[in-house]
Amino acid sequence: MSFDVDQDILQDFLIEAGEILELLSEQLVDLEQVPDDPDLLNAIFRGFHTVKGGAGFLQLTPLVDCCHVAENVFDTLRKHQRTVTPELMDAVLSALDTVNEMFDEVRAGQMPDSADPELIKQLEFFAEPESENETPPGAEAASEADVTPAPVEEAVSDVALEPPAAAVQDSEGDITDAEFESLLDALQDEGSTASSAPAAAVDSPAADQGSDDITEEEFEALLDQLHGSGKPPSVSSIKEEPAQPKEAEPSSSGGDDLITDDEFEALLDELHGKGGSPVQSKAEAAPAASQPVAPASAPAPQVTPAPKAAPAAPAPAKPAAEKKVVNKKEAAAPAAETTVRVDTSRLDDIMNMVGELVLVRNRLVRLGGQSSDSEIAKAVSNLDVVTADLQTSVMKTRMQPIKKVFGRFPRVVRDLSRKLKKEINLRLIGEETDLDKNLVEALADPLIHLVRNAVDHGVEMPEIREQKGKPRVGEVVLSAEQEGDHILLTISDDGAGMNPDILRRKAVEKNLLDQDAADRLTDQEAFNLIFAAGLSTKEQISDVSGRGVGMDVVKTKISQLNGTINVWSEEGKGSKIIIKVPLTLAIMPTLMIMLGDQTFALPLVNVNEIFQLDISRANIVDGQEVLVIREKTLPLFYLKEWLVPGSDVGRDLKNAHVVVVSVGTQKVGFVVDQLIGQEEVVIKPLGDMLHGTPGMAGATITGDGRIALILDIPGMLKHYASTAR
Amino acid sequence: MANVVQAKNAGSEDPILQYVTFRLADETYGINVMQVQEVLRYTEIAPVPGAPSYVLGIINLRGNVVTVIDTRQRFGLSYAETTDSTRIVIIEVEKQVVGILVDSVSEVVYLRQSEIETTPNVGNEESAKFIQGVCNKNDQLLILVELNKLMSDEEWAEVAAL
Repeated sequence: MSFDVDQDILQDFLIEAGEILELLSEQLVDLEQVPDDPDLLNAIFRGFHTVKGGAGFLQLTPLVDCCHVAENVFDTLRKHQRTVTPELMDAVLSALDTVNEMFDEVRAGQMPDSADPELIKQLEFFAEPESENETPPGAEAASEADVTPAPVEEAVSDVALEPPAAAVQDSEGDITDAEFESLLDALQDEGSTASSAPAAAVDSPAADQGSDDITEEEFEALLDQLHGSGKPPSVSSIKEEPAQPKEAEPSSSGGDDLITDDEFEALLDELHGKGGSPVQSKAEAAPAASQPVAPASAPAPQVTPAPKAAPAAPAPAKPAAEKKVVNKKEAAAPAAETTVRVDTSRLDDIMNMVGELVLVRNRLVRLGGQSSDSEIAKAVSNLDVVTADLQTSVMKTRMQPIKKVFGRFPRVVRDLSRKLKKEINLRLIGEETDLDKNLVEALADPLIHLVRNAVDHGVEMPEIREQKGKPRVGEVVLSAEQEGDHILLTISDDGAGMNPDILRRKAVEKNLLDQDAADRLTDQEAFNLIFAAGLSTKEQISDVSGRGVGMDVVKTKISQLNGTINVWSEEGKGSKIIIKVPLTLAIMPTLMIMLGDQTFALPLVNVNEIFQLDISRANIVDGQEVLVIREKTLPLFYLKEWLVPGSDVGRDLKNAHVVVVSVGTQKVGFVVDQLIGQEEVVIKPLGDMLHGTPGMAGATITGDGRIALILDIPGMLKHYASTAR
Repeated sequence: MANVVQAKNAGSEDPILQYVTFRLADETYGINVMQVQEVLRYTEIAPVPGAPSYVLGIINLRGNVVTVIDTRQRFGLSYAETTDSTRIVIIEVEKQVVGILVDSVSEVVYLRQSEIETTPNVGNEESAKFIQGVCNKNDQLLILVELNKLMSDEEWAEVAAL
């Protein structure tokens, strides 16, 4: 079933709530370590609440229900009516998973299915205080209020007059959950049907009386939710606006320090303007415009029925606002966002243009060098510096902290260790290391795999650890640091480590190597065998790992990122896997070569060495030319024959340039016409039409504005070397 | 220009279409102006080894790599040397930006829908399929090209699948 909501609002919700959910998963795992931390409990409570609010706004009922029970659990927890148990955590975590699943469905444009009733029941159980068998009034009332709002036409006019009454009822400064719920409903309904809002507002005070205080958090969450991006300045500015005399009545009933109805309305309007339906905000804007003092403040209730909804809704919430406005201002201030969301494709465009600018600069530098005018030289060198700075800053905008990936691991390790009955402590180091956004995303899967491996294969069962004299709790360390233009990622554990002999034996058993070759391997090389496809030392295949597929995939993935991966291990002490990836995917070091008058770029990761050779001495073995270099034979190919059709290649060069490249373990020599040198290039994808052309990884633009093709050496060898024979 | 104004008054049932005309061999062709992004002077085209035969190569369009199609080969014409008036017309078809190499680009003409005649059975079958229609304007035959059919459906599908 699809649903019909404003796509913009939906997208905003998806992004923001997505971040909250990510944060929640971290916080929940943290909570297990410090179950009594009130800040954490409040934060989690708020998180669920905010998601619920947003979902309610979009009328994603299943999502609301699920968040609601989870929220109740934490409400109970933070009132110290229940303590955190592993079972409770399991329930809450699976609730989070459910929410995440629903989230994916929403993202796919579908109305999510209702949560598993079992789970809801379980959560409801946990939401009850431990000792008593009483449902917290908040929950009941809230659900009541959820159901009650029925559009009652007359209510509009009634409520318009009633705010003072509501204010009196709540004069203790309490607001019930039910009222809060209905406020949410009211606000949300306001977007569609103005009339149902007041109905809800009227209902709620009757539904429950001050049994449950609205907390600062709830109110904040509401505000955050409405606000989207949190704009403290608007809040404070509204506060300063003079109250409209007409509305002074309800506010006076509350005392001096009350926020007036107008102010609150204005605040709501302001908030609403961001999220509400355009029709509604227009209706509100019209009366507002007629009041010269403050456009944002106070659509007078008398004007039209539509704006009346606004005054009605804020009324019950007013006392809360009274108390909290001051706090809220403080609380909201540090939370103010200083960031802007930018589409990555826009960043790519900027990056591209900066690249162009760099090329123009290069040309200018070249021209400037030729002219004798010192003023021009100065200007050009100035431009040189500025462009370089610009390039670095633009690069930085694409950087993201690796925390994005690391953040998932506490949960992964926790779930896995519970399942395997191991005791494991995960330590994260260098979470704030920045790297390219694409890289962050691409690294997630391989890292998850490696961490799972460390937990499953690496760390032993607690009893075994104790027998070996190690601490009962194993440790897995995940660290990231920048090293020059590379990022080093290390996954280490203090577990059993690996035995190189077993690896050798396995490799022979699985026919990956013959006995001789296996014996010749150094220990280091033997460890690297784990990356070979089809090798698993685990005798038992579990659903966690052991199929011997994963590491192969990890290795492939890392090499796709132009990275390297290495293993170090000591039996009994633990293992360490070190991944080295470049800071960014956009730039690639290459060796530029010439074939005829065309420039090509060979990725430097593949290039081993360069020779000047007399290739007329080449031998022919089985129809394939080979060279003997340092007593090793390597096949020799003439790149020009492959890449420049119709060119004739001299085979008797006395002084040919041979580039030795390695593909996997194999080495191959390429004869090229000219070597230009090493250059860092920006990779430009070939258009759709040429995408997938064998042997071509992309194109780049050289300093003089010409195009150089970047060769995909494995692909090229596969395509040409096989067809040539 | 008067012609244009007159044409514009012709009413909504006979919409006015704008076509960019270019010459290839001895014929004048037209492509819908909405599909044309820009017209470039000839720049060096870097050949791509292993690319399909109708692809001449790639060019650097302000930092973006754009594929250039060999229009002559597609239209079944013989190879010609590039001259001063050789142009690369950058077009956008099915969300893809490609360049087509033409002998020269002349002007933008306004045509009424009713002026366009369906294709007479000219040319070989290979070229006929991407001819949208012809138009006789000022004693000159203008061949209107259906760019979407510049490549066969299978070829577009192939490209889209990549």
